[in-house]
Amino acid sequence: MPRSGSSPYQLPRKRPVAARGLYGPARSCKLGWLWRGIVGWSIILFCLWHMTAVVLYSLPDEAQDRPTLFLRRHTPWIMKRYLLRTSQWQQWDLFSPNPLRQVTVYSIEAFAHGDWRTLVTLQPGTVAWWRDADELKLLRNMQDSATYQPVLEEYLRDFCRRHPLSAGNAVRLAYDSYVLPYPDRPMSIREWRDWKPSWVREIGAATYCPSSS
Amino acid sequence: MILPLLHAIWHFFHRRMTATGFGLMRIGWGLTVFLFMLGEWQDVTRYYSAAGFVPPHLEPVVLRTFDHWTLLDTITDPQAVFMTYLLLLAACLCMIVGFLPRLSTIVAVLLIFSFHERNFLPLGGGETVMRLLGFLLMIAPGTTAFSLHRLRKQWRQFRASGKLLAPKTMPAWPYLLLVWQFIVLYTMSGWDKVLGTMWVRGTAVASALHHPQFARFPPWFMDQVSVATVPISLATIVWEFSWLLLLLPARWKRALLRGYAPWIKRIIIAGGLLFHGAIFLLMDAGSFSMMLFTGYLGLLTDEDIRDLRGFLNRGVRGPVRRSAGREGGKIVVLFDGICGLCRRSIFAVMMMDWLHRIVPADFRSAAIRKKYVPDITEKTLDRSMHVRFLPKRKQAISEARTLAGFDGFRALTWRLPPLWPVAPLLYLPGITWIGRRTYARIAQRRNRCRHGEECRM
Repeated sequence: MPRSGSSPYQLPRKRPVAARGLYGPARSCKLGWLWRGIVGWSIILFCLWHMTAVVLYSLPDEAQDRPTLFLRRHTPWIMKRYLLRTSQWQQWDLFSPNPLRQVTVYSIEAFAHGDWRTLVTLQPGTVAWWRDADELKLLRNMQDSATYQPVLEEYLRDFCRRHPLSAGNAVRLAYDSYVLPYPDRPMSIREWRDWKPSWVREIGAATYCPSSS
Repeated sequence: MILPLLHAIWHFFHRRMTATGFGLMRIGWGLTVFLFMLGEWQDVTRYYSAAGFVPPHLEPVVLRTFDHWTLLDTITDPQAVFMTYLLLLAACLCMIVGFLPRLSTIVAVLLIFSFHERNFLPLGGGETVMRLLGFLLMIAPGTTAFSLHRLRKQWRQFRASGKLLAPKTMPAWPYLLLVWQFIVLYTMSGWDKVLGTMWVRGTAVASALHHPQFARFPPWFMDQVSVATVPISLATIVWEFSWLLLLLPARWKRALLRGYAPWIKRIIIAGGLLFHGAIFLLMDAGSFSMMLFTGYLGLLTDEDIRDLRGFLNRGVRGPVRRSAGREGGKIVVLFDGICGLCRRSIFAVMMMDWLHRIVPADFRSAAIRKKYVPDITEKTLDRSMHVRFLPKRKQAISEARTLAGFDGFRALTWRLPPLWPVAPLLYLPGITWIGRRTYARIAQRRNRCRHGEECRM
């Protein structure tokens, strides 16, 4: 039966650290102290290991000074493996060393009646707001590397499968891009307004729609 | 010499601290992952299944071929991948409400690892933070704070003793890992920025704001914001390196700043809220800002929560601040201790009393009545719930403002943070009339059955 009126919150009883155990009250066990010690020190060693691994793995790639190169060269392989296996790999190069300046509008085009016609333009506003960050990010990630050519072709074939395009139809991914200015000093509002982008067109990948579409 | 050192190390990692921060972080993580993964509903099979644009034979192009694991290496069929995705969403919902919090956290984190390790291409900084926080939540004890499991334990305790359990605690090592992760994140980010030229020259922010794939607002608006590009760029670098201050030993900080030592961390976090809040408002950077806000919740310590509560209680009459035992400025809620419905109601009120402003009092006790409501009879108290605003020291208790029934409930809603959104609605025209009638009806029916927990309305 509640008989309150005073503070409803029980105050935690203060006990010596040694008596508290790791996750609450210590269990009464003959080897309890030994077990707690082993687990407790294992946790401490794990923390130190994890902290070291995290800091060594995330050293910036751009840093080329001697201590960094030394640390990078001598990072134990097992630490890298640990971070990769536990999905804790990380690099903090967001908007750095300089922010991304290349702006690209992606277009998927199909060849019809002797000409390439734009089927879809991929940029903010044409892709749903809850999808555009992921979709544009993956296209950006594949843009400047020839390694991703087969994936881009598969991207186009996947597009064919999800849209009513007949087999054998030629499709391609076009990049219309420009580069934002790289000024020595901050630009004024007028300079930003007067600045005009110079667009460049490139073809990222081209393929034919597969027969299963 | 060695033993005190070992003891200090042990104490540093295993000292007990509040689990509130990690409990809130679990909820925030579940919510953020749920919302952002929900956005991938249409694209799940495209991104992560064998029928998407990264079929198994192209995986070596996109993914590393060593030290790589994902459940989606085994689950490749589009329908099965979609079912796995639904399982992830369900696990996130369980994390939010705290249903099987430990299990749901492990499932959700392992599944998010699996999705991320299946296709790196759509991943960004937000997804990295998602995995890092998820890992800490998965291994940390104490993530059961704010869970249904904890609620059940609280109810059992309340039913038996009329008191709530002490706040949940956990060892400090997950908190230390989280602090370390933030220090590494921001220091490395700041270091990378000074290796370039645009951040140092102060032109970086203007450039980022003019990138149409990130900008949320049209160029004319971004032009105006870009005027402050130099101070914002430089302040960003200074703020990112300021996280290194958290490495200073607590003793040094106390010696230098005395009572203001905790403010180092708070000012840095406030800077983070400002910085990431501005990014969130101005730029579409995916889940990055939301995930970092979630991580900040995990940085809350007992001292932070106590001071935050004190800050929010500043406007309340009387010295509620920092006063666990003192009652001035608090509100006494008088309830019927022999009525099951009333006990459940007062328990719900106490669960929502995050600011510790409520003093529950069973009016069936003569001592309680004498202490808080000597001027009101038991019969009157029996008619409806009474709330009494405890007076300042020199005022007589009988002069204190007292409200009953619906009016009392309405006054309570302003004191219970989860009910804040409802509070203004209770003043709409007609609501008072409906509320008073409904309350009177419930109170009348309550009197018909007053025989303990089984008595339900």
